[in-house]
Amino acid sequence: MKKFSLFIITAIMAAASMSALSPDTVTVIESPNQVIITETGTGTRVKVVGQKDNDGYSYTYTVQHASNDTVHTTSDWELNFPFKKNKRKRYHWTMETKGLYFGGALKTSCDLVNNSFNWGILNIASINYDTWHGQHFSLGVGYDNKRFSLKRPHCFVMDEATGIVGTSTYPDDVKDRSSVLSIRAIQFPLLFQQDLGIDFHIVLGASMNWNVYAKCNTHYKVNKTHYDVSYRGIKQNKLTFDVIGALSYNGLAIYGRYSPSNMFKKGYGPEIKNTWTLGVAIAL
Amino acid sequence: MKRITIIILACLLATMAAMAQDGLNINRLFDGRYKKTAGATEIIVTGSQAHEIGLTIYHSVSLTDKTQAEIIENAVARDGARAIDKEVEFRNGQLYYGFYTMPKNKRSNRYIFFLNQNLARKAPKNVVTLIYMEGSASADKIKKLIRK
Repeated sequence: MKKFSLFIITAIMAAASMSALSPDTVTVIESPNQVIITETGTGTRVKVVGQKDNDGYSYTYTVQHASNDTVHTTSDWELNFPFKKNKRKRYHWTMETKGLYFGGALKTSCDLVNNSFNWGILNIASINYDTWHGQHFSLGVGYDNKRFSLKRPHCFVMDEATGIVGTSTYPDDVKDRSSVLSIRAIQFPLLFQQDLGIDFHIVLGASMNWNVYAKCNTHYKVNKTHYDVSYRGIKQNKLTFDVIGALSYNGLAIYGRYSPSNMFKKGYGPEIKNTWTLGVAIAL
Repeated sequence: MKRITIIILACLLATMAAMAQDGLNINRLFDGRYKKTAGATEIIVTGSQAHEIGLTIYHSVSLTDKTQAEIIENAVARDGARAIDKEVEFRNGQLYYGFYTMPKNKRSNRYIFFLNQNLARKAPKNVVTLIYMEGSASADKIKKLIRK
């Protein structure tokens, strides 16, 4: 008997737990004539009028919102998905700044040139066209600075009357010698960029350089006296053209630059042309 | 001995039934059934990204299939009946939105959010959204998070 009682208790406990779920069905009315559903601010009323064999049948069922419900009837809920990626608007045409570079010349036509340094910003501002298929075109304006220094014992000298720059040698017993040609230009690069993956891309293009400023500077020391001779009014080639190529990974690039143009106007200085430059660029 | 066995069985049975109640009705909607449904978007976020906003689980599903709205609404309503706090709005006899704070799971707060944008007044959209969230974040924080 006790076992039976325990079994009954067990069954009741289980049933009680299961019955805590609300029943799905309140009532079933077959073939009603009319069903009226009224929504109020506090609940919903369902009224059934008439039945198949009983026109006078009436049944009303009201569902009140639970008292702890906060019922709002105000504005729409503007949903924000906290983890949904915001789709950024994409434009074909954009403007940007890119390409700070530093490099040195590997080779130039002038045998007297010892080394050279080249730095600048490829695009201080540029207009870009993105095909959205991995190709980008840009036309911009930037700044370029080229410095060519001569092998010892050679130095730049200029005939101030004609503006012709030549080379000479330092006086004997000089120290701390350096002789540099510096050319500053506003450049207008036209570039094509091809993406090779998410982070890799290659850049090819050409640049027109407007060489707005040039000077030669020769510095040396004799005994304890420093000499610093600057020549301005140099007849540099106002317009020169460079070919540019770069391989970029995540904004860091190795670039190469070929300058076929002579730095001086013909007859106004030594031929410094066909210069190959190699360097690094950031944000390219 | 037999009596003890029966008592243990009785307790087990009752516990199992209670556990069955503890499971949410919306769980079955997150079983991957909508993965191949056109226009459905399902987002599951756990780990550091969820932790940043005080959640351990974020699971949402958005559907453009109107027929699913009623199914989801029914499941939400059943779970909502067990909520310890709720904020709901009915429109035209249908649940427009519901934000339910469910009983805690261990130490985690649990929230269910339902929105039927078909019932929006300004710009109705054929989208029904269900979100389940679990974590330490408060209800107010969650509401701010999911409302523009």
